[in-house]
Amino acid sequence: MANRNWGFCDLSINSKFELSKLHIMETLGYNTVAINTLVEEPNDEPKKKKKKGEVKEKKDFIPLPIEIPKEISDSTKLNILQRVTIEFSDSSIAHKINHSDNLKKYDIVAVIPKTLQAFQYACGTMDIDLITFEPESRIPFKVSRKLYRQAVERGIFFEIMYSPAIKDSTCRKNIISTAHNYHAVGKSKNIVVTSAAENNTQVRGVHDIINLGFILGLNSTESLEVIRNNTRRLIIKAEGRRCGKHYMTVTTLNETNNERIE
Amino acid sequence: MVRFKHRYITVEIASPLVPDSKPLNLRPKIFHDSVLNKIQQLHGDFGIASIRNGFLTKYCNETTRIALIRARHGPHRFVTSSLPFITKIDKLDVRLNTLHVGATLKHSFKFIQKHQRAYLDSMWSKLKTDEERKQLEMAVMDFKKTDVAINIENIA
Repeated sequence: MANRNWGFCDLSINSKFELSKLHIMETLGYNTVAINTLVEEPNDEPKKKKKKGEVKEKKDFIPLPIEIPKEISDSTKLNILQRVTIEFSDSSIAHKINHSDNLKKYDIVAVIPKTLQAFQYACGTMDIDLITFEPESRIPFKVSRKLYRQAVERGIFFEIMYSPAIKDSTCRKNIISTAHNYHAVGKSKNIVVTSAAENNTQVRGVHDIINLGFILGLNSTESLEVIRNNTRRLIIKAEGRRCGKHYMTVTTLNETNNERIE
Repeated sequence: MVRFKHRYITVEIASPLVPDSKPLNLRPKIFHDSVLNKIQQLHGDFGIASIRNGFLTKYCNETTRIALIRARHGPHRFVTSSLPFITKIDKLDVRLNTLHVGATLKHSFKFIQKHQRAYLDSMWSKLKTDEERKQLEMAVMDFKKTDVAINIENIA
């Protein structure tokens, strides 16, 4: 997996994005896209109490990843990954995550911490790849230098999305000030820039993103890193999380390939 | 090591309509908002977004009309550049004079104290009784009336 050409990545595309339009991403210069599934915080606590006496319902709180039709995945050269984003506000989520089978079907796991406690947990102990935020509201806690550094050491990345900033003024302010905050607190280390686009008009070309880095408080090398090097590191780290530490993977080639080699 | 650099901007709110001898009543919240509005006008969303972290205003003293603004180092230029354009706070015509831009609260405070003393000296000559002088000194050197409530989330 590591030796594949990941190139420029957009690690979050909304699940509403029309899959038939994915070829546009290719023309914009991307090599990898990840399709995001958002899992909102379940607030069904009163219901649970009623159900406790009844038969235990085994329902995965994480839905199955969106299926990509074969003809689309065959027709593009894009690497298409699956990503899940989980909202949570305290560490009790860990139990649910451990018992979710569907979670293992995703390539990248991202979280939206809603409280300081959740953020601490996400930076310190949680087994995830990406920490993100909601552009509609300000981050409800203070990002401390210590936690940021801890997250960076554990190889967790921070996400900044740009397509809400194109649409709306409040989102724009929140995103820019969050980016500046990351710059002030952690020197913009381990940041990835994604689109979070809902349709193809909200995606921008690779070079435009690199220029956009100026607004987000990144210098020109950092701007390139956030879309290429950092994303590649993230993908490889996510792979390591799923399979454990490894140096190589062994895959069987199919027969047609074999014949060609002979 | 200083990790989070700030700039403290000391401004004087001059209002020609209100006579010098009377204290200038002002709602600190309105001052806070009018500064932000002006920055939005001049520097747009980017300006607001960049200064919003760690932005803090305090209206310190009604008698000498001193206010203090804290902003992050770097984007504080957005604040200082938009201060001259503030002409109205609520409905009151004002002019803001930037007196001092400092890096630490301590030095800003030292400056303010000096400024207040100078003001006091000039006013004392006009007063007759010692009692009045005492009262004025109390009023000028008082910083306790500041309303911090609007900034609670930014104090850190």
